[in-house]
Amino acid sequence: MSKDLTSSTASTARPSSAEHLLGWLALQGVNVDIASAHRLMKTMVRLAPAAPAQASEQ
Amino acid sequence: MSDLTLPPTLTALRLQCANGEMTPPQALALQAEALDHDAQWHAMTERLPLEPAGDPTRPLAGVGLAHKDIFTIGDRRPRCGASFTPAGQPTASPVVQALDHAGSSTLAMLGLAEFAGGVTGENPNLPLPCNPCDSQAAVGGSSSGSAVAVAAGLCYGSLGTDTAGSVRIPAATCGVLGLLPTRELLSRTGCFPLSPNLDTVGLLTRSAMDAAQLLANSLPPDVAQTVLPKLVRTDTAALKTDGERLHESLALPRSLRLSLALDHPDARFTPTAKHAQALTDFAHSWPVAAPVRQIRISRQSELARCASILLHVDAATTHYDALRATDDSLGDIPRGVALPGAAIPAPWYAQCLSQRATLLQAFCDSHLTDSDIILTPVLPHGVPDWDEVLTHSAGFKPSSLLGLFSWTAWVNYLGLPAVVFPIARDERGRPICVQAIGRPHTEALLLAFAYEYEVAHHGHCGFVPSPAALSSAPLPSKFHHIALP
Repeated sequence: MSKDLTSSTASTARPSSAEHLLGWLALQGVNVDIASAHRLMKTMVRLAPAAPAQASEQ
Repeated sequence: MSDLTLPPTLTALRLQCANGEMTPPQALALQAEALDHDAQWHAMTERLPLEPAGDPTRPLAGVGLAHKDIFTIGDRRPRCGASFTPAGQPTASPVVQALDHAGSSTLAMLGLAEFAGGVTGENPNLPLPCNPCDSQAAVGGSSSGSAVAVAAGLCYGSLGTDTAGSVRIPAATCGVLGLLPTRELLSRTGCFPLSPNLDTVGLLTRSAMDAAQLLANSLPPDVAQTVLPKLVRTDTAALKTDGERLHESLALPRSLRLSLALDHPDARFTPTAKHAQALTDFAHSWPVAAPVRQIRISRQSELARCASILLHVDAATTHYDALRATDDSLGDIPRGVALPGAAIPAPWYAQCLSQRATLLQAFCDSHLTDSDIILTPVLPHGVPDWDEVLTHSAGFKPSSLLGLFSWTAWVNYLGLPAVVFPIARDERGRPICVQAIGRPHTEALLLAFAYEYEVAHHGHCGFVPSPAALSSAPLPSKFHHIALP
């Protein structure tokens, strides 16, 4: 079992589509359906690093 | 012995034992009896054998406790609310060991969201917990059994864990005190992890003084001396001769400065007018050294985002095998927490870790230089109905679920201490709670703040209404109110 998931996946960029994400997870042995992949893509958008304007929120 | 009744707080129980009004074995027997009433609350996962009361001179002699079923107790490994007993965690929790060494007895293990991965008590492997304040009201999670047990009078105090609000949210839904200590103050050893970067062992109690005494006896002596210097000497002998001064050990400095934050960057989670007014009235009721400062939390969205990323990735790491498995060993809710972690790019995670110290310093510079305590809502729209937050309910509202941790998760990212406690009731009688946040290692100040309010409004009876005043079925009957000297 990997206890170092982040380095083992070692992705440096957000997947560009749900289909891309589906394949990427499958390479890790994590299988999800396309509906779940679409939901995960929304989460990725929400968690993406902030644009400069948002980063300066005070 | 049948004429004896349990007082409303652990502190009062200790005084009764110190004064010879009750022996520790009698006290433990009554507390064990109180647990018989769990059938209506669904707080407990397992009853532990009642051990003989030990040395009666120890500080917590005669005090029974029950803890979230996520701690290893002796040889017993935690079930974590799962459908099986997970592997790992062979080492006993040193926090529980410290409490045992101080004379307390662990009487039961308590329910939780599966693998502590939810913000309510929803768990397909356990009965739905019943909120003693209102049976229609949701019970927050993940330390749901702890909050219910303390609110229902099944036990005086409970250890929980708080990763994104898992002590504070259930405490707020059930109207008890929840303490999130400074991150790493209490050892996480022997505690099944969710997110080691955020997990914090915390306490749920009926009274701020009770929390202070449990905290003082949970820590190594040298640390306790630093964090709660005036409480570490309150052993049984000291109580017997000096009990009337106990409340002075949590004296609040007169130079207190407060800030109040009500605006949330996501407008959905700005408190309702009723809740905002309750918090404003509360803030302005204090005789503080300077006017209450109205603030917005700097970079709150960024702090919450970092907390989410650490939570998801750490949960994915913790449950990596289960995510890859084709069986259903991991339920839908913890799986939903862990799965995004398998997709989050590594640099995002690394950045969240690397900038944490900088963001903490900036936060303290911005908000905790001119103020000693920041006040915020806990549940911006109050305690929701179960129907709104049960994920398979027809009335499920995702925003109600998200609102539960909208004011709590970012505090874990910064690692700051916080205490939540009830300050009012809404039109349905459900508690309205405040969250008080302080600088690292200011647990004594936060508990003194809660205690001053508690004593002013409830005397020495704790925050929790007497069982007869609870809106749901009035049990147990073994608790009654007494006044401390």
